[in-house]
Amino acid sequence: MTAEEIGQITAWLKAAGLDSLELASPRAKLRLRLGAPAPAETGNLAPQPSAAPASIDARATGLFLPAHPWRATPPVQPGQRVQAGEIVGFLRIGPLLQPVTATSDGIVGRCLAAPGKLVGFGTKLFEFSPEGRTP
Amino acid sequence: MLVDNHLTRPNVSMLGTSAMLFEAPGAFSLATQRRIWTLARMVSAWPGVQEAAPCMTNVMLTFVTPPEEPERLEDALLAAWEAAEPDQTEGRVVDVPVIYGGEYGPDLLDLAAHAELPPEEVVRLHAESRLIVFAIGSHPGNAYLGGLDPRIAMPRRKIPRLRLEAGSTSIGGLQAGLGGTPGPSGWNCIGRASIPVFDAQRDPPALLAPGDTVRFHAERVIL
Amino acid sequence: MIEILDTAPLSSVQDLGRAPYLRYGVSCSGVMDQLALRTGNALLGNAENLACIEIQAFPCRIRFRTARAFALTGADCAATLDGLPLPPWWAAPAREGAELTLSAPRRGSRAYLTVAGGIDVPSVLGSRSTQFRGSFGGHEGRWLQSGDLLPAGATADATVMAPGFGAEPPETAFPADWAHFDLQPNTTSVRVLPAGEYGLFTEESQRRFWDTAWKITGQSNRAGFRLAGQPLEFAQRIEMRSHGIVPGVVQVPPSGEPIIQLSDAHTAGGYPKIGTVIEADLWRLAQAPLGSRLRFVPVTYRAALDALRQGDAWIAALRRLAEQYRSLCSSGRAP
Repeated sequence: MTAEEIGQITAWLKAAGLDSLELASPRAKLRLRLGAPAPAETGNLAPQPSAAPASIDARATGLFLPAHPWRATPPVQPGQRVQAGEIVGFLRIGPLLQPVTATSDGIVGRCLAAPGKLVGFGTKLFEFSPEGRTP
Repeated sequence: MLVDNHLTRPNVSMLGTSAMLFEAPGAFSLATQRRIWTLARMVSAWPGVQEAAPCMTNVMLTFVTPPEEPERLEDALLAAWEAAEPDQTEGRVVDVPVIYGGEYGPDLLDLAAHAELPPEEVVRLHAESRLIVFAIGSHPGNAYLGGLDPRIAMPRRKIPRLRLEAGSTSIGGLQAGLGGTPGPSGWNCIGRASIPVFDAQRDPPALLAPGDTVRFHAERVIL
Repeated sequence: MIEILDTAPLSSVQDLGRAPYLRYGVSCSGVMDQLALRTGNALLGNAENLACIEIQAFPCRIRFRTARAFALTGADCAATLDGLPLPPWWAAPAREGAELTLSAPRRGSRAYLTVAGGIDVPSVLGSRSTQFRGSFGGHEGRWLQSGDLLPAGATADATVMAPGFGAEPPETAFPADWAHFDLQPNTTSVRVLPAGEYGLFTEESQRRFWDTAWKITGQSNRAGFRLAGQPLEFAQRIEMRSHGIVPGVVQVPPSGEPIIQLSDAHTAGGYPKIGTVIEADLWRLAQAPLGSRLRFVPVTYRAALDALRQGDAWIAALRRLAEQYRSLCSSGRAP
């Protein structure tokens, strides 16, 4: 397992609200235990727990791809109305492509991160105006 | 001008990272074939070798994983060839009933005309040839047979047939063939076996193995 | 259960191929693009060699008679699931009755549909691949046709939550950065190791073999690609004895225009071999459209091995990450 993958799984743990995870493969065993909830990269990027967020944030560490590598344009354009769970962009983690999805129905605004940039958990990726319903 | 590939010494070459080909030196002969079968049996048990597929005075090794140092495998192969005695296994004698002529052997009359013999005589010479299986290959169960009576040799067709049925008995130059599965062929088809030559549900799936002797029997001749 | 609603007879059930039966004249068959099948199986957590549907004719429509996670890899066919666009190289859940539609490829030429548990046709001679010449394996030993029903295998894991996830297309992950010339549009580059009879060609023809943008003619299929270009010339013509061949072997028949032998090729051949497309690049051939051009790039055995391992490592990493991703998603706390 590479450092990149461990970093990735750690990010997923945080996202999933888990505090530990044990991984076993034929060659290695790894136990990840997270300490106190890690502060987000900067204070103002922390996910807001109660109100629906005003942004769509990275839920993992990876390379931010607004469009699929085989598409010239992103799946949604600024100002477009999307449904909860709809794909609005991608994170590339090694060979894996993870979708960035809308957290609720709403309108996607400007893209806030540079294409191809390495982003961490909590990084704001899109402005977002939620419209009430959450999944 | 076309020259037969008479190598003066054994030749080993790579087919990418997937396979290695060993070619024996000298003229084509059954004795060389017998050494090739011995070699194939030896190397098929080597670690990393998936299969040793013998053909006409050569054998191809495929790999489970490609060799790290192909030069070492090549050296081992050359040494094994030097040590390989002709395979003495007595092949089986396999009786194959055949319906000659008609839709079963669409080229029987052409071949008779080419050989300037009556078709019945072509059938007799074919069935009385002591045919040895030199190799199985090309398509499932297909047998290359040596030992054909030269009086019924005939060059391949200029325009291949789009389909010969499974079991077709055919002649291409001085070689005889017994096809395992239907498909296009440039060989002259004189009959069809009435027993299955290839059956994927059987183990081994092919009726014949290298070294076997085939005895064709005229079950019926359609003129 | 998977139902083929609409396809031309050019799609078939294939796994990674059949071995070791060359000595019985049985070709390997199997998918043309192994990387696409292995990726699909890795995304779904399937064993590496489970069978898929190789789709070579478009448009193609498929219905999931039962709910099932699936992955679609290979060519970019602007696929839709129940009318909604599906990203390329993507795994997603299909509800019962869902319909998958593939249009003519915008990129590549063969698409691969893998399902959780694999396409569960009987294994014949150690493989589920269709053997067309022998009419066995796959689904009834033949091309798929409208109305065919294919069972999906049992699966313990492989829950994929909507909207799914995917893999980076290998074209982007493994760019042909080893090509020593400017890549032209509509041209595929593949690496080639010189083969046994390379030295029988004139020096001028050897040079031309590497320098020509060979055209992939319409007489190209799963058995082999026939190439068009200025014929190569032999310095010495020899009559070869029939010998075993493998996918990737580039033969030169008397006409002088190369033929690349592929998955459904005969197991033996007798034309001189000028080279072999390395195993690590066979997927590039599989995705090269008819009528496009092909460039051969010389490579060393060592580099060919490295390329093979690079692909293996990429698949292994994808498999590990996909497993973690699926389990986090199915715990209900999707990342």
